[in-house]
Amino acid sequence: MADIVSPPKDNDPDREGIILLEDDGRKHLWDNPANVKRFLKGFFIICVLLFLLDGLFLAHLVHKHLSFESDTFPLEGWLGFFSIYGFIACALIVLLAKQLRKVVMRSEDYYDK
Amino acid sequence: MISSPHPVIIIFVGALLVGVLRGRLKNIVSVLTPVLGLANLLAISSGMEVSGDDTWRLSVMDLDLVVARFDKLSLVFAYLFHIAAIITSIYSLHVRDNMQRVTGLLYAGSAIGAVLAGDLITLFVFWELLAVTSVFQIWARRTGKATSSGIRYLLLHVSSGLLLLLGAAILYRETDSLAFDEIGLQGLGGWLIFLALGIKCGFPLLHTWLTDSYPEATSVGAVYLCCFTTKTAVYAMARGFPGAEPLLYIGVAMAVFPIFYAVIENDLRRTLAFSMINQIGFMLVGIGLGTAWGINGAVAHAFNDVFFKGLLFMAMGAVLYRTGTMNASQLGGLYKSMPWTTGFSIVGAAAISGFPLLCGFVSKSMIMASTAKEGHLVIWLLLLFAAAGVLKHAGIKIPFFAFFAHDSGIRTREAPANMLVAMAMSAVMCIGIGCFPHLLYRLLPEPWDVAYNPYDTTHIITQFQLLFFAGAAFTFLLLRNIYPPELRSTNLDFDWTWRKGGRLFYRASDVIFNTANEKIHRGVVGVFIGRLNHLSKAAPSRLLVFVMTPLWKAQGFVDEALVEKQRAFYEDARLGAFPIGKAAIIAVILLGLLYIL
Repeated sequence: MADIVSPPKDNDPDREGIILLEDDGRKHLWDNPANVKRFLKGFFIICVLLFLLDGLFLAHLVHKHLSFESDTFPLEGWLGFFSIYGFIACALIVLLAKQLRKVVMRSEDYYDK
Repeated sequence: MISSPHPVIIIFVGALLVGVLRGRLKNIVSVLTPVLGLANLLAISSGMEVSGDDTWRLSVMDLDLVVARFDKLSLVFAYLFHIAAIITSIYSLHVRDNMQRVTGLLYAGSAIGAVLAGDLITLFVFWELLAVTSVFQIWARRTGKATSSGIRYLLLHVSSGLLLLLGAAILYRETDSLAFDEIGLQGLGGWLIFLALGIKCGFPLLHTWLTDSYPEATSVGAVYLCCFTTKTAVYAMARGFPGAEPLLYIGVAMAVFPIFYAVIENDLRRTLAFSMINQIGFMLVGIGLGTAWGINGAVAHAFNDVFFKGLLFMAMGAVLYRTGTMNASQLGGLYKSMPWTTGFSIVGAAAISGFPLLCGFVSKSMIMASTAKEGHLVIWLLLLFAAAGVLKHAGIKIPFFAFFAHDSGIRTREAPANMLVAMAMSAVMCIGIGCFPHLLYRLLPEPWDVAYNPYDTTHIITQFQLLFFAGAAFTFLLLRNIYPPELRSTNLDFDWTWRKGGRLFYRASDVIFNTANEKIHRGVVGVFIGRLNHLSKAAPSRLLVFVMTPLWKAQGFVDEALVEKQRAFYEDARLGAFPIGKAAIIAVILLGLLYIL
């Protein structure tokens, strides 16, 4: 649940721009779960297609330019290297960050105490 | 022919005018000033091509100062800062706080002065001006938190200036030159300047001012801060320390460690501050490589960063301005109320992530390519890891948690028109540079040994794969509820050393010095002074009694009578109450003693 925005307590000049309105009850794009589903479906289809694009390189339809000189890092040329690396990197970041939270997280007003 | 004024003068005069003018005229001047400055700069640079001399000199007290140098490296940053000043001026048109408007322009002018400085003294002057003018962007928030954060900010930045001055003095003694060219890490002077620049670059452990102050600045202030200070530092690094090996490792550390913090950070502008460190990390790696591609990549990335990071800060500033909060835990669903801001933030987010056809792609990839070209495999893998992280924490997190995610129920209005115009300008820059990278590449300082082409089929495909699959991982974790929820919290960082450590130091000093002070006070004022007072009264009296006693004994006073006599005389002596006869006798005796001695 979202907590409520705290009322102004200081001379922050940005306060004058705050406008908080009532919900007008209109439905928006992502209020419809079907739209979210459609979006996710499209997204995952693109992912699969991108993965399969590596086939272009395998079939030698497109020459794959490696970043490194030929023998330094052959792994780079393998099927799906960038896809798998991207997936693992992002998952690892989130999972490690969750662990980091256990070590570094304190209450919001930690420095005010 | 009328000679052009120094670019800084135009901006500073404009800033003063903004200070005294009111209403519409003030707004016109504040936007026109950097436009005029840019026109002036273009006139100067085309004049340079004719004359061939690219420095302006000024002699001050036997020092030959190069107050302006217009070579490719300084010009590209000077153009950048003028464009950034135009955009930030438009973004801040609604601000009524005069202090912030004036210092904002002064700040931009200081940054321009710093990148044009051709010697270390001029650099130092603008370096300190940069610190002093920028802190008002934080203090303008006028909250207690902002005030103390600004003081911490100022402490680090003034230290940076002092280190720069000290390093310059040492270099001057050694080389008899104040020129600000390649310095290198040979002597102590070089290292001190390296450290001075490092503070402003946000080196690990010295980075705390970034994540501390950006979230405390005003909605407009953070936009100003993200445009100038760190970019000036990156410029100075590229000028003074190209190819310095430590930068490779420092840069990689900066590219990697903030990612983790950015994931768990609740304040979206602090997330962006971490992202800023991460982007500067990429730039420093490019500078550390020292190759044409590396330096050009770093400069191009600094150039683009002002637009995509500026755009994200502007979008978040608009959200803060409208809703009063920056906490991801309180935001969400704002696409319903702020569709334009949402759109612009998505452009900025996609650009920073490095999607093809946007500006991040054409500069970050140059740094990646040059790292691979030099054969640094581990650094390349870590940068690739960081690139996936950028998508995660800046590309997805910022727009997703502010504008989509769960609906927070906050309904507001779209950002003010001037903010939207500024965001649109940045978005146009992001797309324009992304689609026509050669326009930017032409401005880059290093001559190309081999021209760099970002739009290689392999590169486009692999980049899309990296980004989409990183996005897929995020989506997967979110759908599976593995993704950590946004929580209101403070995450400990090296900041602790300054903030708690500083307080600890304060308390320790309080205990040690105040206790010592109190003890000494009691000793000196309470005891010693009293004793001294007593002694200064009693000692002469006792001396007199001592002198008189043989006389009294001769007169036949003994035992109690003698003691009584001594006591009475002592009292008289102490109070200074002698009959005239006694006083005369004592005076005679003392004079006699004096004569004998």
